[in-house]
Amino acid sequence: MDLETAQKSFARWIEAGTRAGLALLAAGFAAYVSGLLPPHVPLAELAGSWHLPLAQFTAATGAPTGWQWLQLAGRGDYFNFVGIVLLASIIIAAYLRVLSLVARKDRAFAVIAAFEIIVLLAAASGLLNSFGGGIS
Amino acid sequence: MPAADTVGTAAAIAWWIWPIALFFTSFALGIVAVLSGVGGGVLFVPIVGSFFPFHLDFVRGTGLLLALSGALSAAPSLLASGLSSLRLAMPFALVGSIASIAGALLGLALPAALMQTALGITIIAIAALIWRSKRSEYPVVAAPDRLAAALRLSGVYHDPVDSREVRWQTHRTPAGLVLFAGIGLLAGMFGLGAGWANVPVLNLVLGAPLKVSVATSGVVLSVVDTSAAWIYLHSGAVLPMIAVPSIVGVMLGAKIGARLLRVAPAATVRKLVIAMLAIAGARSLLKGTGIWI
Repeated sequence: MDLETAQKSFARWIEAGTRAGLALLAAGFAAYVSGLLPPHVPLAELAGSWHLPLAQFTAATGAPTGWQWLQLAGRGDYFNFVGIVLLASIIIAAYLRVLSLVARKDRAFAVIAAFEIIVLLAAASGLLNSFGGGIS
Repeated sequence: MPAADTVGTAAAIAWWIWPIALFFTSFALGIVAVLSGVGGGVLFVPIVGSFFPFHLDFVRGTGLLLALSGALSAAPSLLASGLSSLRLAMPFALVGSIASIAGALLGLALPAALMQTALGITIIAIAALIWRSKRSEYPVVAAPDRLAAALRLSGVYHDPVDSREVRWQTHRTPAGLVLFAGIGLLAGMFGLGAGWANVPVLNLVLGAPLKVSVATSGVVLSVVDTSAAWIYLHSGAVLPMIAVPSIVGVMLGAKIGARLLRVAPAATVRKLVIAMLAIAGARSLLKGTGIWI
């Protein structure tokens, strides 16, 4: 399949993923603020700490970094991460779809898609964060 | 006013006022962003970073998610119509995404005051860029460069206004790659999104028609911002209490903005945006340098 045809499939994947991500985000936030799912960081404590730099905030609140939030996914605040992570994963899934469709017909763009997927997966893994401030 | 006093004043206000204020601010920014053609992220970060009590780290993380959500929402229809070109977006998005990861890591490692100052300077420069920049509906590209020819960076779309097929091609690919690396670095560093820079580079440097540039910019932005968003997410710089009201507010505002698009005075809105950016940039600069905390 050529890239111009694969583009339509790319669009459908983005549309489906975005709808699901935003719906999850809205549902998660409703559960969070209504108290249906109690938060890991109490709201009053959060408001007292959101002016702090990141390192101080995580130390003061015990907020998770990297993929540690998965252990707190049942908490109201971190349940929201399910929707956020879905939104941040849509492009990776859509590129995988494009790669599978154009691999034979358009080698140059298959290579570009493969490199992009590697870059995005490296960022998503959390491993690259160790090159920065060492927060994660 | 000393920093401790500012924090004390903010703490004296009931905490729930801030997410509500954030929602309405984001809603207004969503309207203005659509009417002016400037992305929401570039307005959100300097304004919320300067006038709300949240640390800039969390504002930048939210800015990226907000720009990403908006770009993802707009992309499907533009891609399906053929106005947006995945072929044109992919090479530049790859360079931009690598640079945005570097920018995000750098931004999270640098001291807050330095970041706030740099943000102020960047925003004032962006305001000047928007003020001075010209656009070309159908740039003339005599011949594609060798890389553009090899990658077949060209296309055709149907323009319903003129009721005709518009064929396009691009040139100056190496310069475009360098510029998108710079845009990605700034996007990741400041959480700004990148529509403000993507469109002029696609249109004026590469020579893509204006409509193709605007439509393709969102696809590039969604890839570039995804990369940087992961870095912020893993660092803990995303707080749902800040991110969700902002995303919902901007997206609802964008829907209203789209309805107002036909009747709103575009030139006035554009001047308003430039003024807003200049004020927010100056405020950020003063905050970063400690003159007005």
